[in-house]
Amino acid sequence: MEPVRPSLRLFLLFLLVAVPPLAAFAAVAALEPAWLDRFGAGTVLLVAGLLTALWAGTVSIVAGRGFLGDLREVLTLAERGRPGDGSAAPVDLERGGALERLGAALDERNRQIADLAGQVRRMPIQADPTAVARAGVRPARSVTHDPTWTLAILRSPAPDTLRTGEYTGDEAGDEAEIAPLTDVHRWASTADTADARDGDSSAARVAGGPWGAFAIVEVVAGEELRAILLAPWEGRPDPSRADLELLRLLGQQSATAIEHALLVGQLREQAEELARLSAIQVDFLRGVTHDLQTPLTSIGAVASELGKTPGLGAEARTDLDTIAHQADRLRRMVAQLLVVSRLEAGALQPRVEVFRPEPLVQRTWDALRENDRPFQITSSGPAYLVVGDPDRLEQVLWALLDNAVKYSRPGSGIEVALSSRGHGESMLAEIEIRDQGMGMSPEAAAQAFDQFFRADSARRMVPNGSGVGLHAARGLVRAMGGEIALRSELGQGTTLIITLPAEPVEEPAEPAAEALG
Amino acid sequence: MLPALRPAVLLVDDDPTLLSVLARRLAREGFDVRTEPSGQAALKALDRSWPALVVADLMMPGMDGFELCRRIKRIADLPIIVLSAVDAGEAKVRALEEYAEDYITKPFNPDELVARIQRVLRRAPAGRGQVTLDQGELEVDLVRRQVSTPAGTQPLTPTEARLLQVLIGSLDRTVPTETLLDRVWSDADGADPSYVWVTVRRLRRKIELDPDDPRYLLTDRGVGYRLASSAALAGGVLDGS
Repeated sequence: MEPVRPSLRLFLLFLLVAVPPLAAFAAVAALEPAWLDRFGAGTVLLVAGLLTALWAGTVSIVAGRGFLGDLREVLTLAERGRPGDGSAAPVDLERGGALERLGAALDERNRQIADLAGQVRRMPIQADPTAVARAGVRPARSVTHDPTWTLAILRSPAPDTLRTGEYTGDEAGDEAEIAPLTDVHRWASTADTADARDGDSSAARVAGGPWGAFAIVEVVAGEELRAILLAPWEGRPDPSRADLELLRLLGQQSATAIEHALLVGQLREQAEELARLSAIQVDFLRGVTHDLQTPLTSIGAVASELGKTPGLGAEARTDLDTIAHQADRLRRMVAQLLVVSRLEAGALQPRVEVFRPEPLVQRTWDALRENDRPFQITSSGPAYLVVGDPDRLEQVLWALLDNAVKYSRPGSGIEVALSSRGHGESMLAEIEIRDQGMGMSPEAAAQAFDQFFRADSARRMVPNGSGVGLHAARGLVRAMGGEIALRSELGQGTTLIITLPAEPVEEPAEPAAEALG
Repeated sequence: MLPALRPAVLLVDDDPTLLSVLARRLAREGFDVRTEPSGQAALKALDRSWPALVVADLMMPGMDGFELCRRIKRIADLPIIVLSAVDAGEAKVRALEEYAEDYITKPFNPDELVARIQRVLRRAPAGRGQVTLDQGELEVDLVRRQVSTPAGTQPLTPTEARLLQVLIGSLDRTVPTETLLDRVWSDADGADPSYVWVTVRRLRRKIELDPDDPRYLLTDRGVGYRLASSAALAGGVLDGS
């Protein structure tokens, strides 16, 4: 049976005192007995009053102890009652002083929670779990106004970065400050875990042992991380359940923060390793390209010099020309690979020059030595100069024209249409390269600019290819502030459209000179 | 005008094949060619005599081209062309631009090297790297390739810097468009007068308060362009006299 609430007991007591005399009066008034007249109303009232007083006195003496006890208990509860404290019975709040004390207690608790939240929020996301472990001690100290809290790491998933031992949480700490674990920690880690039953790994409790009483808060994350927050608690009042709850939350937060720091550390290590590998790759590529580029320069230079030797036979001249041409092809492919590696490093910085595109297109086409193919350059629109890096645009044109040649039948024509649109500073140059080749399916067209992508049909026609040409071309065009698009239909040929910034060509007017005249 | 009848060119590269091929080619073009296989050897050679121009490889064992350029510039203000296997995207090459007049990415066509050597030699001697015009309203820094106006600092492209360099060399005098084409662009660029017009217009956006009403970079219609040392002279008092 549940105990009767003190306020209900008080109410019953009042009923007991008041009801019998009232009932007696009511009975006398209703029956009007004969002795009423005999003694006279005054005497009867006097006697009734005496009897009532006697009754109230008796009840008070008999129940007085309980009555005062109840009154005391109600006041005590109002005083002790705190939000979230489930151990206290609901309190009758209609008592002024208790209400104010309750409000003050609530304010104090809110302040503590805000303080704790603030400290958790201010904890820096950092890769040093040791610093995070130290930082985790500070909120416990400030919430409980107790500087004796320490954090003992009992089991660490990464003993190299987070050593086991006792962390005191002082600001200017170094390695030496991590004290070794003692018997106190070992005892505390196994002490009465009544509150931590059923795998509740984030408990807070006060336990007594051979070294006195300690407040112990579990800091646990997964299987690997086990730690406790610890403070001597001998001779101090037990913390309220709400206090323990707050400490338990703190333990959880610390565990999460330490776990995150360990993860950040791991990620950073992995990122550093990746960066190291990437640097090795870039170095390797640079070394290889240098190794390739110097002999390629020599081969090309020697071949072209020899070709100019007087009295050379036609056959020898053709052979030397082939050597020079192939060296040039190799050079361009090496350059393309360099572009790809540089795109990945984000290190592509083209020059900004102004130039006419027609000679560049013609020169690039000539370098491909496809003399048997019909080739046409058409120009339309107002005069302009392209704004960009002519060497880079030549790389792009070479890749696109080389593709057009590779993926179309020998003898089929290739056309380059040059035009401009817009005016002033927003003028754009357009370079369209049209072939009558095999074309692409919409699926292949959608992936054409992806690195290393080669359509199945392309593989059948040209088994060997790197799949970097269009990818590098797009990277280069974008680096020059332009864009590249593709229009293609299977069996109908492909058109690539390069758009680049341009400047209109018009001789600048000169007001000052005119004023002179 | 060439500085000498047979300008001396010092070639520095660790690859003997390339060295001999380039030496033969440059000799055929009328240069007095000397070759050295390393940076140290090149510095020793500079003790004996100065060439009109140095062509140096960027990547060499021992002292690399970067270090060589720095040391050369400490000794003498010689124009340097760098041969490099890396290109403009690399931070190192950008730093190199402070020392080198030009660079060519390997592998290159020897004709291109000849064209660039001729262009560098044709240009007016480097002289002043920094010029202040109009009581500090306009500052041109040819070494860092930038211009500063009250509106801020703007980078110059190599071509714009060359154009300004030629104009500064003839401050307040009109430089014919043909001369600009000749000195600023190489033959391989296939430039025509429209290159000068457009480059001037782009340059005006960087140095003029109002590009449509220029105060410094002035056109002399049908003749060429002139850089006015102060906005007060923009009326052309010195010109045409």
